[in-house]
Amino acid sequence: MQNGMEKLQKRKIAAEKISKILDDIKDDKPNTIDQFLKEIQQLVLSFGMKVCGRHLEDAQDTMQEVLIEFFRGARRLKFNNPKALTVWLYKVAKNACLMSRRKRKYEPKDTLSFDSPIPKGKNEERKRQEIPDWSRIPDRAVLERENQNIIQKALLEVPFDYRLVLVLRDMEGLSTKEVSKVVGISEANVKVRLHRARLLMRNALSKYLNSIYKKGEEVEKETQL
Amino acid sequence: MKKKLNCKEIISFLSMYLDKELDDSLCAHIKSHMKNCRPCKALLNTLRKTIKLCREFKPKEAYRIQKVKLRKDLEKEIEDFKRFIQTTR
Repeated sequence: MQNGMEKLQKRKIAAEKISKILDDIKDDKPNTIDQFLKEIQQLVLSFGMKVCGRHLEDAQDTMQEVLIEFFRGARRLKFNNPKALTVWLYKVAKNACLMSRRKRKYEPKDTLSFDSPIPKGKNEERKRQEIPDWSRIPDRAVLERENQNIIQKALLEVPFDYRLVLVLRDMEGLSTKEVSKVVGISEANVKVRLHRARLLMRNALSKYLNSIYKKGEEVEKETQL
Repeated sequence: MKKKLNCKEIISFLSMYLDKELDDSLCAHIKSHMKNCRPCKALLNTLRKTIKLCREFKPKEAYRIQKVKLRKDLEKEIEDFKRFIQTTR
């Protein structure tokens, strides 16, 4: 598991990137704005893919609107530090995703349940129940090209409000406080929603990974014979 | 911790346990529960793996950045933002 230190470092790098760009803008260095635009577009597109599962509708027009809202808002709200700008950028990207969702007629139904992973029954009976432990599947097997869609598909099965918190916290690496500002809910609520979102994501992944895990177990048994 | 927690209660703490946000006594309680409860142990392992996979996931289609001609109103906003950073930072 990626430990806390690595996570912190990843975030620091992102903040440092924006900080460096802002310093370069101050010094009026050439091509800085182009670089900044590229960074923003990358973040918005990647975030949009994770949250909406596709590129934003009318990507080019939407992107120009997103950029206008970002620069105008940042100036009006006097956000001149990297942290405030990052939170503001995610807020603008989230609004673009919501608008894009409203435009679409079809959205997948939220069908996942929280209860399914919780063992039921009395103590002894419960302990005999099996939950496939697919955590032993190597990461690369899930993250490799053909299987990458598993994560994307599973993510889209998580209801939007939960997916948003999961993406911001566990994929984009924002802190609880930052997520609370982007989503507009309390930090305590972020924690509750994150826990449910993780359980839902685990359930969704199980649908795809249980079978890979079972196949692996069969292979293991066969090779032992 | 006096009261023994059941599986449902243990599960409600798992995210905070993995984020290292729980006090030592509750952590010890969860660890001891995991030794004796295979379903909860499997749930903990797969939840941990879920978080890890989320952190490492990068959608491959997200990086098609096209250089587009900026609209006039956007160019103006960028210029205003530039001036704002140069005067306030």
